[in-house]
Amino acid sequence: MTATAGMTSATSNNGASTASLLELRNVTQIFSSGPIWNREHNYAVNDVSFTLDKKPALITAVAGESGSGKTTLGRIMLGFQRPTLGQVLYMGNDVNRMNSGERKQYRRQVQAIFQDPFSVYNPFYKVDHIFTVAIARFNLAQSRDEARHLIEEAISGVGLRPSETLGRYPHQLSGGQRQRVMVARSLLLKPQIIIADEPVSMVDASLRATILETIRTLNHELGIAILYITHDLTTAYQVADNILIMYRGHVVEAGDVEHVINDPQHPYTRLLVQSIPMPDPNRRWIDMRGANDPPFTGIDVTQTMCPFVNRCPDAIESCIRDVPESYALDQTRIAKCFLHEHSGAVSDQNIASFFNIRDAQASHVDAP
Amino acid sequence: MSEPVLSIRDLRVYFNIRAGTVRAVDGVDLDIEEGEKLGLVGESGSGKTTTALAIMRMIKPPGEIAGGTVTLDGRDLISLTEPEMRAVRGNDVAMVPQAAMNALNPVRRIRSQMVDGLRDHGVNESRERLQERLNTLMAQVGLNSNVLNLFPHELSGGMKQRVTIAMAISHKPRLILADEPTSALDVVVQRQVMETLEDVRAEIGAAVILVGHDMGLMAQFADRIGVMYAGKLVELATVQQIFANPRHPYTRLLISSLPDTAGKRKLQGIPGLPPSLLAVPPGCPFMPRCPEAMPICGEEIPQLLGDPDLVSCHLHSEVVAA
Ligand SMILES: Nc1ncnc2c1ncn2[C@@H]1O[C@H](COP(=O)(O)OP(=O)(O)OP(=O)(O)O)[C@@H](O)[C@H]1O
Ligand SMILES: Nc1ncnc2c1ncn2[C@@H]1O[C@H](COP(=O)(O)OP(=O)(O)O)[C@@H](O)[C@H]1O
Ligand code: SF4
Ligand code: SF4
Ligand SMILES: [Mg+2]
Ligand SMILES: [Mg+2]
Repeated sequence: MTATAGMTSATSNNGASTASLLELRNVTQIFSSGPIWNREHNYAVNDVSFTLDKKPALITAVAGESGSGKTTLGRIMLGFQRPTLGQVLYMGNDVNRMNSGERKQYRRQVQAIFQDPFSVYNPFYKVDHIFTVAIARFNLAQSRDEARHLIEEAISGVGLRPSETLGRYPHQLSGGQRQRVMVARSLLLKPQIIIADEPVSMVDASLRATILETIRTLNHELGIAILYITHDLTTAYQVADNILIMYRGHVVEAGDVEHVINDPQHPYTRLLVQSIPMPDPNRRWIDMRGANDPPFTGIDVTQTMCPFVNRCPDAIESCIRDVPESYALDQTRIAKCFLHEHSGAVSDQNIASFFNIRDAQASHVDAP
Repeated sequence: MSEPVLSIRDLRVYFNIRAGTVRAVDGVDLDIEEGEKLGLVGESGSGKTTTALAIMRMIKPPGEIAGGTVTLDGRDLISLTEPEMRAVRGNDVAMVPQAAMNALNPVRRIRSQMVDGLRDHGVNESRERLQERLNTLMAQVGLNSNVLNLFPHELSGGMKQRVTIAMAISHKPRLILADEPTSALDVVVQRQVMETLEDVRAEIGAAVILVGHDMGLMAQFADRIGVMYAGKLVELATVQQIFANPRHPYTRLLISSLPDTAGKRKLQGIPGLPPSLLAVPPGCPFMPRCPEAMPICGEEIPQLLGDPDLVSCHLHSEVVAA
């Protein structure tokens, strides 16, 4: 336990740092399908460990292609899905062993913002409804006036005018306004954590900037820790402190966003970064074509290989014989790739507190 | 300069709804050269999709083409009969739709859907010739011919989009309209699909109108960019010009709202909302949101002027003199 603590060294009896709000320990989610004699097991999340801390409360991005397990990871953290293996700890308590009071607290403190805000609304109720329900459910106000005040404050907080927003039905607001109303609801609840799953993938660039700036404000000014799930690396770069890159359920690279995106070390992260459509007509993909072919194209990837081996241009023999561990590249970064084997493996427990990058003084590396 | 492939003049598309007339496209002029790649960008609701659908004459009631001309290779499409127009669709102009998933029939194999597409357009060949043709199309979009035997749900999003590209190019159209063909895909697949689109486009020499609001994608793909605002083109210029020296304040704000990976900064959206297309205010439609508005902007609609790069903004009235 020597190296796990970041700025706070106090740890609770089960080993969770008291600064940690939400912690995943070796979480695996397997979805099984097909007949019993030929079950297929889909590892949507594969042995993932990390924490969201209270202090400092950071913005952590989770990026990866579609189907890589981002949404499943978010749902597990929200308690919507009980993982097949591993634990989720909220303030050091296993969320699957909470009593109802603890559970209510956890539900309030960890809020979600989803991709399509329209699906969250009931079209027959005015948008006010989602606020009044939240206020009643969590006893946030003693009087109607107080409730009204809280709602207006939250709506103003996301850059909307209460007079132009309240009293309307969901279809009378634009997509971006609806999404900001959802952010306002989170603001009203003042949770400790917000899990935002592709909150801006359906809006245009201008609204995207406005909504992301609002989310950033929630973090910087109210100290809310945020998990920002996306497949857009540029917005992840702009908004987040840390980033986890997921590929087929594995966290293949993680660390501070500046390094991961501007100096990617895992071959998959490199591929992602090279595919960003840069808004610069003088730096086109087309001019960067012709990378070497992956040596193991077409191989049937099993659970005992690197999950990226069939697409990896840098693959070597070890990659089809074993699953790489997480290796520490430096104090703030890990990559799950044999090319970095010499850097020394990190134990899962240590990964959990690896991303305390606004405060990266402790050494997290196990002796190789 | 040679004759443009497509020439649009004063195109108007109106939706007549109970609340009034939505002027979704309101006086668009546009020429597309042979083999040119034009990006059509703008905020949601600015009229991009409606423009593309009008070129295909696929506007449905309560919408109507309220005026203007669309000329393809010298032929006025607006005056064609519906059967004549049906022959143009697919053969001369083809569409790659936004939601590939909805464009494919979920209960039929890819092969029979593609065969139907070919037969609909009068291809009457032996089974062997047809099979050869399908194999070639599949290879062109980077798919294995086995895919022909599959149902749409057995394909990934990127594969489905490749199938729709294969369908779109099957008659070697002169013009391909691609409406946000990759917005549902992740970056790696997006790049592969766009590269495929570019390869097949070059191979058959078609022009492309790429509709979307991802300026990054536009920078990667387009030769020229048309910026739409409230049903009008407000700037039309080469991609280099648009990114290096955007002249319309709206274009400038669109570009500055783009995130990049060269240092963190405040993300700046464009404040305010586009005007209701039911009652566009007099003068410049961008005025309520324009940081550089002047008194004249509220009185006179700026004209789209310049040569060859066009802009409609009173700040650039000097182009009139030029
Ligand atoms: N069937 C319809 N009835 C009434 N109005 C319509 C209809 N279809 C489109 N419109 C209106 O026409 C305008 C232009 O819509 P269009 O779909 O062309 O926008 P767009 O630029 O493609 O936007 P997006 O980026 O969201 O796809 C909008 O104001 C829209 O509300
Ligand atoms: N409820 C479910 N039942 C079965 N499979 C699921 C379920 N939810 C997700 N999956 C599968 O888990 C994998 C990860 O999905 P998801 O977490 O939605 O990925 P992402 O959000 O990164 O696109 C996919 O293969 C998906 O099909
Ligand atoms: S472990 Fe091997 S196959 Fe996997 S990403 Fe690294 S080099 Fe590529
Ligand atoms: S015409 Fe006036 S209001 Fe319109 S964009 Fe130009 S400066 Fe702004
Ligand atoms: Mg998802
Ligand atoms: Mg559209």
